[in-house]
This record gives sequence, structure tokens and C-alpha cells, in this order.
Amino acid sequence: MKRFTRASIALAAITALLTLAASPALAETSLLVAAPGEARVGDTVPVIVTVTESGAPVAGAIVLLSRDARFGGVGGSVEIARATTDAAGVADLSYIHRAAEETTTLRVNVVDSDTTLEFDVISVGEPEQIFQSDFGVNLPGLGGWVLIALVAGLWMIILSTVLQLRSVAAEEAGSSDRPRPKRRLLPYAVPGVVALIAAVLVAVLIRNPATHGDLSAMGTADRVPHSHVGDIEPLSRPGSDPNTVDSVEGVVMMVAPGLNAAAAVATEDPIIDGARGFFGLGCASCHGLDAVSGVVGGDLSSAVDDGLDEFLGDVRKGPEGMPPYPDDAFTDEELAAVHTYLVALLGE
Amino acid sequence: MDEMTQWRERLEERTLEPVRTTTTGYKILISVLIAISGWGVYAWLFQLDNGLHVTGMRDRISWGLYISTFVFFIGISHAGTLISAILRVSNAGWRAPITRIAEFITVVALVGGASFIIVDMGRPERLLNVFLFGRWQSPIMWDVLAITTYIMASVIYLYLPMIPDLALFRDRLANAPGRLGAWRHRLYTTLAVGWRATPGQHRSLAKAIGTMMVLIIPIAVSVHTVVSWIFGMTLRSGWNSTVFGIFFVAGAIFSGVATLVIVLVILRKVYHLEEYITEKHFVYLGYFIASFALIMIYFNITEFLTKGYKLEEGEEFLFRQLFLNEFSAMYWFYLIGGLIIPGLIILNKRTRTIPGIFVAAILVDLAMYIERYFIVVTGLRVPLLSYEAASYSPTWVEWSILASGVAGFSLLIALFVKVFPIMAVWEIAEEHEARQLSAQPVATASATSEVSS
Repeated sequence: MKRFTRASIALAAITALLTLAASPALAETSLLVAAPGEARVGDTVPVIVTVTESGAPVAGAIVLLSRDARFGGVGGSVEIARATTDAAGVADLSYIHRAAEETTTLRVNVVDSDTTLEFDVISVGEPEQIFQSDFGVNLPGLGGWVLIALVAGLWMIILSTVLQLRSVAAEEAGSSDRPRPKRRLLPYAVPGVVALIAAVLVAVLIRNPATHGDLSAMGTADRVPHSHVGDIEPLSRPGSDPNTVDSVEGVVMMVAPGLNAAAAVATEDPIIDGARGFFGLGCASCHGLDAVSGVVGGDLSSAVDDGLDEFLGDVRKGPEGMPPYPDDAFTDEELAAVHTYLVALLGE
Repeated sequence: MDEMTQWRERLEERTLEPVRTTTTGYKILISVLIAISGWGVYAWLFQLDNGLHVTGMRDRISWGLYISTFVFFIGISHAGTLISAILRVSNAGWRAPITRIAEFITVVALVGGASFIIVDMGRPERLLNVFLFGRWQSPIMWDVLAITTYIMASVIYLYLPMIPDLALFRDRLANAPGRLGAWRHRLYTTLAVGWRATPGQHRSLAKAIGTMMVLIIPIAVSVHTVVSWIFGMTLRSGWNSTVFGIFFVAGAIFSGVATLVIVLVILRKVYHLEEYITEKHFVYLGYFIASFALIMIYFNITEFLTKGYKLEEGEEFLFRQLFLNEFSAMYWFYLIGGLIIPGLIILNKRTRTIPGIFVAAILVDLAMYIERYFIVVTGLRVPLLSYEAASYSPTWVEWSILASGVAGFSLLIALFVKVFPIMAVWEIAEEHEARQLSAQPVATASATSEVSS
């Protein structure tokens, strides 16, 4: 059962009535929409639409729920649910609230009619993982504890084996009329080492939920997620129309990592070439899609501030743990284009 | 001095021989191996300095020689498990002269294999993150657990049966001259943990060995299964296989026995161990190789037939590159040169000799390395989207580090025989005495029979 905030229930619903000019097919069509005004990412949001015509309910009308969306540089209206009205003229729709942006504008319309109604749903709550997979078979009782028990059990057996060394050493004293041997370290050191390694391995497993239950708890640049659905894509040329061919080229570069840069046809636009270089040469794999936060590499805003010469020098020499890239890896022209792209992306 | 005492004395002398004498040839060998290893270390430092860009690996084919070598080394580590543990569990008496070398191959190969993982890492200092942030959902973490456990268990399993022999060295080399002699004496005294061969010590040791020999078999099987899961847990064509675990284990034992044969032939020749390591040992090991060659052929058929019958798009690409195109020479050498021909050499009575089995073992090891290589590279090469297949070609850095790995493996074995007992003296002696005892009543009965007739 998905949660709704108290506020969203209180607002329960934006209720709107819109009457538009009748279409030839459906004269005097009116739409009444009831939906929560707020939702958390992941909530299933009910949208109840009542269709009337001159005040009378319309049965059998097909109602579409859609929103504008953009993916991979291609945008447009995306249908997210559809339903047919019942005898009371009511269509029962719902959708999963996935958007990370603050406000999602949804649209309801009736097929074969110009009647359209738009309404907003506001995202509330802490940012969460947008897609939570429902895949998997949950076997009761099966979990990480099985692995912990297996590893601990194995190492306990190994430990019990090496503890026999103490018995071997202890037997020496009573073995002959030799002078009593001095205390030996090895029969204690070996079990000690075994116990230590076992403790480390088991501790790693036990700590697993603490280190991976909440990635943000790590709080370091090492573990910053690349991007969220809904983030502004850095693929298109800054300031350009997202539906232009430029953006689509960006997508091609994204889906084909490792694309040989030489194989890409150079354009007359250094920003496009730079974007192609940023993704095609592999910069984005460390510095992130938006060039400010990657799993490995740092924020490139400073590279923009420092100018081209320093940027070239950094790439060639490799500052702060970044591997240096020699001339045969990237040419100065390619790097200059990447710099131009970064300036356009981050410079403002 | 009776015959048994003389035999025992000869055995001990033969085992002590490598420790006592150092030939010029040995010094040259060590120098060459150190030089090759040193070159590999230089190549690795060069790689650290310049990044993985200096290798042939890129984003799409991100594993190459290093991971192939890792898998190969982990594979040959199964020599010790099979020959030592399984034969010890089954109480096969003939194992005694070869167990020590098999167990040492296991430890050295595991260390070598694990180090290739570090070499493969562009940022090796991040290895610590495995322990700081390791997550059990990751097959890489399973590998860390399995290999760490196997290394520890193998070292203990090598050490425990060596204790009586270390005590022998302690006593026999007590008066060795020079600082080296004194250092060795201290080493043997420490490692022998006061072994005086009392019944109580024998009981404690037998208990420990008994536990480890059983425990190490499932650990070894799990290790190579988990290594295969690094590949098998993905949806890549060529790797997405349910039989990969057992396929890898079979290949591991196959290459492990072959490696043992190669090392045994060399050490037997160099240190004149012909009296103890006889043709019988090689023939028995040869039978293992032949059996596993058939098992490997079976796995090839079941693996490729089930995939080929359905032939999904990615599998078709994989089959073409493997059987017909870029990797076909490797695959058919592996199948014919590494599985069929060694089997035929061993099954043919005329070639079932020590040189014949040696050649078969070399072919097997070559083929198994190639198999590891093409499993790694061909799987990564299948395009996941409609772009052209990437190519991979190892650079001088990778070849140098590979050579260094092989040299390091040889170097550690060469150093081992200079310090530790090369054969399990007490086990050979026990086996010999048991055989002598069991032979005596038969001789008496036979004599009695002749008299009465």
C-alpha cells in the first residue's frame, strides 16, 4: 500500500471542471478530475475522471492520462494510463509517480475529443530511489545470515584444526628427558592469525547493511550517484532545443560508450564535437554525465575556470590520482573541443 | 644397519640434498627468474604510473590477459586438492612422494592468481574498499571470501603434514655451518613446534590433517565455482551458463594435474628422485588427465549444443567468432591439441611414457590457458548494442606481467625446494614399511607351500 502524505490527502484532490467548446463528435463534453495534489516518488496515484456531456454521464468514452516527457533528447506527450468510462461516466485511472522534478503536469483527455484538462501533482518527501524493482523471489528465512553462518562455520573448523598445534607443542614437554622447552609462539600465533582473518571477513558481511543499506550515508564524493531520472540531461547543447538533431547525436554517444572518436564525423560546432568527445573519449565515465559529480572523478567546474592550457596540462599529467593521458590517447584538438563543451555546460 | 634403516637413510639424504647443495645451474636459473620477475614489476609500475591505458583493455573489453591468468592460476591450484586431499581421503598409498609438491603448487598458484587481480586493478589501493564496503550481493565479494579461505586452508594443509619433516630437517641440519645454517636451524625449530614423534603428537597431527583433508575438498570446489560465477552471474552471451561452475572445476583439476606432471618431471630429473617418483606415478596422473580430457569434451558438447540448438542472436555471434572467425584457431587448438591429442597420447600404450605424458601435460596447460583467455575475451566482445565488435590485443605491459607471473611461480617453487622438504619423508616411510610388512607373510606362506609340496 503506497503512502500518501497527510497534506496530499487533505488536499485530496485538485478538482477541476472544465468546459470547452464541443467537438463534432462529443458536444458539450466536460471533464471532472479528482487526484491528489501531492505524491511521493513511488506512490501509486489514483486519478478519477468523470466525463459528462450536457450534464449527462458519458459511458464507454476512452480517457487518456498523459504527460510531457523527454528521454534521450526526444520529447513529446507520453500516455501513461487509459481507461473506459462506466455507466456513471467515471474512468478509474492511476499511475506510479516517478518524477524527480518538483511539479509534474499531467493531462487528461477523451479520445476523439478536443477536451483536455491539465493538472499538477507536487512531489513531496525526501529524494528517494526512483525505481524500486519488484523483481525477485523472496524465500522466507533466506538471507545474508546464511552466508555469514557458512563463512563463520568454515573458519571455526579451520581454527579448531590449527589449535591442535598447541597440543603438539604441549606434548614436547613430556616426550623425553630433554630440558623443558621454552614456550613456543607459533602454536598461538597461527590460531591468532586465523581468528583475525575470520573476524575481518565476518565483520565485512555483518557490516553489509550499514555500508550499503543507504548509499547516501557514506556521504563522500566516492559514492555520489551519477544522475536521476528527471535530471536535466547534459547531452544536448546548452541552450539548444532539446528536440533537435544535436541532442539525438548526444544520445547515440551515450548508448555507444567506447565509440571510436575518430569514427564520429566532426561537425562544425565545437560544442557538439566537445560533447561527443566528453562521452566518446570516456571523460563521463569518471566525471559523471553532468561533469560535476562522478563515481571516481571530480567536479570539472574548476577546469573551466582555469582555462584551456591548464586543462590540457591536467589531462596530460594527471592531477590528484587521475591517470595521465598521452598525446596518442587524445589529441589537443579533441581536448580543446571537450573544454569548449565544458565551458558551455558549466561556465555560466 | 638393516635394509630398512639403509632405505630410510637414503630417503632422508635424498630429501636433504636440494637444501644442502646449490649448483651453478640453480643460481643461473634463479637469476633469470628474478630478472623476468623484475621486468614484470617494472611493467606494473609503468602501468601504475600511466594508468590502464597502457594495456590493451578498454571500456568494452575490460578484462584480458590478467583475468585469464587469474582464472588459470586458481585452476592449477587444484593440483594439491586433488592429488593430496582426495587421494589422502581415499588412502591411496602411491600419493606419498608427490603430495608435498602438489600442495606447494596449490599455495603458490593461489598467491599468483590473487596477485593478478591486484594487477588488473587500475587503482590497487582501492582493494581496501572490499573490506570497508564489501557487499555480499556481489560475486566479487564471494570470490574474496572463497579465495581467502582457500589460501588459508591450503597453507595450513601444506604446513601440517610437513611438521614431522621440518623436525627431521631441524635435527639433521642442526650443525649446518655459517649464518645461513643457523638461520635455517632456527626456522625449522620454530616451524616444527617441538615435534618429537610421540604417540600423542601423532594423534593430534592426524586429527588436524584428517579434518583439513576433508574440509579442503569442498572449499576448493567452491573456489573455482565462485570464480566461474564472476562470469556466470552476468547475462553476457558465452558466460550466461548454468554449467560454468562444474565446467570450471573440471578444467581446474585438468590443468592442475597437468601442471603437477610438468613440475614433477623437472624436479625428478634435477634432484634424482627416480627411486621415489616412478613411472607409475606419471601413468596414474596420466589416467587422470585422460579422464578429465573426456569430461572436458563432454562439457564442451553440452555447453555449446544447448546454446547452439536455440542460438540466440548473441550466441550466434559468439559461435561465429569462436568456431569460424577470429578465435577459431585458438578454439580448435584447445579442442584438438589440448583435449583430444593428450588423451590419445596417454591412452596409447607406446606413448604412455614419462616423456609422452610430459608432452601431453604441456599441451593441456597451453590449451587450458587459451581456453581461459577466449572465455574472457569472446564473452566481452559480443556487442550488446548494434555497434561493431570491439577488439583486444595485449600490449607489452600485459605480456611482461604475464611472463613475470609465470617466472614468479617458477621462482617460488625453486626457492621452496631449497628451504623445505621436497617430499613427505614420514609418509613415504610409513607407506614403504606398510608395504614391506604386508609383503612378508605372503613370502612366508609361499615358502611353506613349497616345502610342503
